[in-house]
Amino acid sequence: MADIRQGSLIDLRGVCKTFDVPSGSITALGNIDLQIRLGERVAIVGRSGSGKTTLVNMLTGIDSPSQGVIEVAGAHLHGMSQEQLAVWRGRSVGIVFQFFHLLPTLTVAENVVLPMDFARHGRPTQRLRRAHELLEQLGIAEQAGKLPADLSGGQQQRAAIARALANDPPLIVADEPTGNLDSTTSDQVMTLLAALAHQGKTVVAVTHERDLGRFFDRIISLRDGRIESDSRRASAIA
Amino acid sequence: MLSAPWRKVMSDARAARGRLVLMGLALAVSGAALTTMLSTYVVLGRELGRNYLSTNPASAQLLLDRSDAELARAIARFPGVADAEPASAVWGRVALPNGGVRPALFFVIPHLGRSRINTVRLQSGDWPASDDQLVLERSALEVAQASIGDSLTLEFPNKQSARLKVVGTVHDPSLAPAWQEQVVYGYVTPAALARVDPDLHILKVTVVPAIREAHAIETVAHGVAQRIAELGRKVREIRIPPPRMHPHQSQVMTLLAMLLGFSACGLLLGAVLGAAIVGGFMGSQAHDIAVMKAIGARSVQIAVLYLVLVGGIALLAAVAAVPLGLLAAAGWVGASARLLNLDIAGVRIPWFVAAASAAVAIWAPITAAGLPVWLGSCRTVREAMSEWGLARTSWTPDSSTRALVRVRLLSTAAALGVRNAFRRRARLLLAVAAFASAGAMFIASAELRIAWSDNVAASAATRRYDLEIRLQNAASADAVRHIVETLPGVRTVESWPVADVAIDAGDHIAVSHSYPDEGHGRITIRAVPLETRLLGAQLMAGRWLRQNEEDAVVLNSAAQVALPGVKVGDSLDLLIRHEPRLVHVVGIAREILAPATLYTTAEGLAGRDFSAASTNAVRVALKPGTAADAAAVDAVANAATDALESAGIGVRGIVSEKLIRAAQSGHIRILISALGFVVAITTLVGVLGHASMLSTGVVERTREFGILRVVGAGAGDIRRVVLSEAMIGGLLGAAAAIPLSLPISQTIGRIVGRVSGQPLVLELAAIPVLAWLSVCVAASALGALYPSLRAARWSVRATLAGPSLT
Repeated sequence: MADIRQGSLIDLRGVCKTFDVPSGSITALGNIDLQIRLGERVAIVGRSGSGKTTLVNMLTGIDSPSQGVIEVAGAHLHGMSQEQLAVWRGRSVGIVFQFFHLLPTLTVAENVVLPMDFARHGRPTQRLRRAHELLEQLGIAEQAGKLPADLSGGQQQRAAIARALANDPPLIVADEPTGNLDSTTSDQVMTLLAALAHQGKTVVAVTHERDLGRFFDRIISLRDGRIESDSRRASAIA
Repeated sequence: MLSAPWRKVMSDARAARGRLVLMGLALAVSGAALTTMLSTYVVLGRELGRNYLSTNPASAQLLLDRSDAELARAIARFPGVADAEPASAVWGRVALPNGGVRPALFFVIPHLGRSRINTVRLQSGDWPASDDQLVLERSALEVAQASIGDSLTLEFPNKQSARLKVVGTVHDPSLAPAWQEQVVYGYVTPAALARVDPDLHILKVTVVPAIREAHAIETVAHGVAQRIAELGRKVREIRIPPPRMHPHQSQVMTLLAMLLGFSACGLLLGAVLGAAIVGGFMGSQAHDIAVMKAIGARSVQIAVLYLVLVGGIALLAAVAAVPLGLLAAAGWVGASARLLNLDIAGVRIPWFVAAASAAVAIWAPITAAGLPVWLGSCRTVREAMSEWGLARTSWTPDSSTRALVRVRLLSTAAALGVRNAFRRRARLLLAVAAFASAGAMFIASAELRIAWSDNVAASAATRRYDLEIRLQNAASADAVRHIVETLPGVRTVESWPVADVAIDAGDHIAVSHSYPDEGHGRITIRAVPLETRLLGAQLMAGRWLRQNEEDAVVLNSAAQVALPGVKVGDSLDLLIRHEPRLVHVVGIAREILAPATLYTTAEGLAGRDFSAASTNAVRVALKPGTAADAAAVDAVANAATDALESAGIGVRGIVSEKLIRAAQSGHIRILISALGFVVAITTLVGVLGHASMLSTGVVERTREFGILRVVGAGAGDIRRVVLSEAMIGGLLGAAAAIPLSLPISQTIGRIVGRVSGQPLVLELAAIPVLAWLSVCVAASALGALYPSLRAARWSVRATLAGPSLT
């Protein structure tokens, strides 16, 4: 266990999350132990209400555990303040959402520059240049000056991926990244995400579409807030 | 136990309590201002009238060669006359402890303390018990630099003097405060000034209650004058002040009406801002409204729920506003009473004032919110459902956003804030309107202060003299000039003879509309040396006087106001020193803050008892070193009095230029402080409304703030985004205040010019504009504080999970 933990980018130990509701409390996650290494491509699957999003929120510092220890990219998330988590997130995690969540009044390029501004990453001119480079890599350089409303769903998701890569974080987390896309576009986006692992990044994606599992090295299945299965694939699409 | 829909509305209100509290505060503040102004208007209007009428003011005062009790008894039986009393008024001077002098008007009253017309009330001390005592009007103590128990040296023409002890003070509400006119008002028995003038010269007359109109009073007064003439007495002048009106009544009520109007606009603004907040609130409830309609609620049922909520907020605001407003009104009335020298019997504010204020404060927000509530309630289920969620692109970038994309700003966060400000343009417009309207008032009131100060300074500049010496009787102009010219410190002396003038109604008896203080309502005519160096008036129309012209007059600005409709080329039938004269208007001259005056030549003023070589007034310009020293000016005035009196030329009074300037400055004090109050209220309403709308906008973009936190924004970054959005409203509001201030300034200038009888031109000035810009920046920062702190504290999980409207 110690050897596994040593190479781990993500280390969850005994993590529980309960929510208090008027009728009592709900356990969203129960005693999760999970380690994910650098460069792994991990899919988290499960039915609605299985705790996928809650688990992802733990990994990204969006939510904090009721119990347990969370270490991600060298940081002990369970003990950090909201302010510290925001700063850490900007530098260490890139998040891709199902509904893209691009800011509608900023251009595509500005959306990509935004995390770099907050992290004071490089000089302003360098940030814009990097944004254009990322958009070029993702095949939407010509959309840089447009507003998100002018883009298709696939283009918006590519822009969101570019934003996630802005500060070159070691970890990319995608929550249902293809949930709002057609199948062809979904494949394209998943191919992009999978390719990031070759750049040394760890990719964790939540998906309810089991046929997308071919893009991942490891599939963790959740059920009722616990890990039901954790299987590695011999060959995943590179 | 509330039913489910009412519980839902209460819970919605609790969730949005920050914004709704700000909205309520804005309504309370503006409602309090309206209550204050309405109460002040009603109470001051009542108290001005009550104070003045409590003196049983004379309907007319006839100036005679001699008046006495026998004449009064005879006239009291004249048809239309209710009562008559003899009296007199003597101009003199009071010597001050520091060596200076002040002009003084002494009311000579037989049976002081028991008079029936133009009565005064003993305020402190006692009525004079002997002939060497007097009482002063309470506001005159300060001007005379005296206290009860002090003895004053009174100086009169022909070296007459009297030393009288101040034994008490009275309150005479029919007079303007002494400090405003810089005149000492005293009340004496006839015996106290018998050596100065043994006779009484005024007959005070009141008419029967049925006669109320000025022209009817004038008819009675002319009849009385005729009767007096039949009894062998000579009537020199009839003075008929505006009936039943305090000298300052029309000015004060006009100004209060103006302020009431501005306060009403402030409440309207608060109501409209509230409507904008309610609109945002209804938007945030779109999903819930859709669900309610999907399960059977009708639009009317939903509208009633939220209108009752708005009504509840308005009611709470009114409950706070009305008592606060009444309290502020009590303070305001008290301060105004001190400025106007009134006694307020009690700040009893009629119940209907509080009721009307409350009704308006409740009705206005409900009415304004009616439209957004109805629109929000009438949305179909499908429309309302489609607005839920950031993922669905419910907001389409418009032309303004696309235009702003091309503007390069310092940072992306600043760009985000600026563009967000333009996403809800109606709301931005309201924020701009709030800052613009408050700013326009701010700029206009500052311009008023500047313009009035400029007028006082310009008026001083036209008065190129330092002293005016009024003589008791006509004397040789050359002799007077020679005596005064030789005094140390004197540079120039010119003869400026003056006389009262009235329009001749046909019976050759001068009729004026002045009050007993002989200040308000008078028109004078002056002979001015054609080569004068002591007058700086500018010719606005026509031409100046020419040598030896006997029938030409030039009107100054105040005379043009006092004689409405008179223009260059017109002829006027005047009575000058009771002699009928036909004059022709040849010019109009602009003279700021000067009494109504017609200028003519020495030949034009000459008459039966007054030659062109005579004078009864001279103007004196002092050497620069002397003029700059108040004590030196007083010394010259005293020396001139001594020199003239020694030469047998009686001096009636001396007025210095500094005294005139002090009196002019005091006239506008109440208006500027009242405008300042309205500006403060409007600004507060604007700030609260802006903060609340900003808060609404931030809540609508909850998920966007969650995204910002996700991509690494710290609390400071969030605050900067909100602050840059807030600054747009403030800066645009500051800019919009400039053009909006122009018509407001013009209106205020016109109103104040009319009530003061002096044209007042308010011009845009840089300092008020820059000051308002600073206020807007500070107010925007303050308004952004609450929503930005809130947004920075939101949990990322909750903001991403919940619905958000763009």
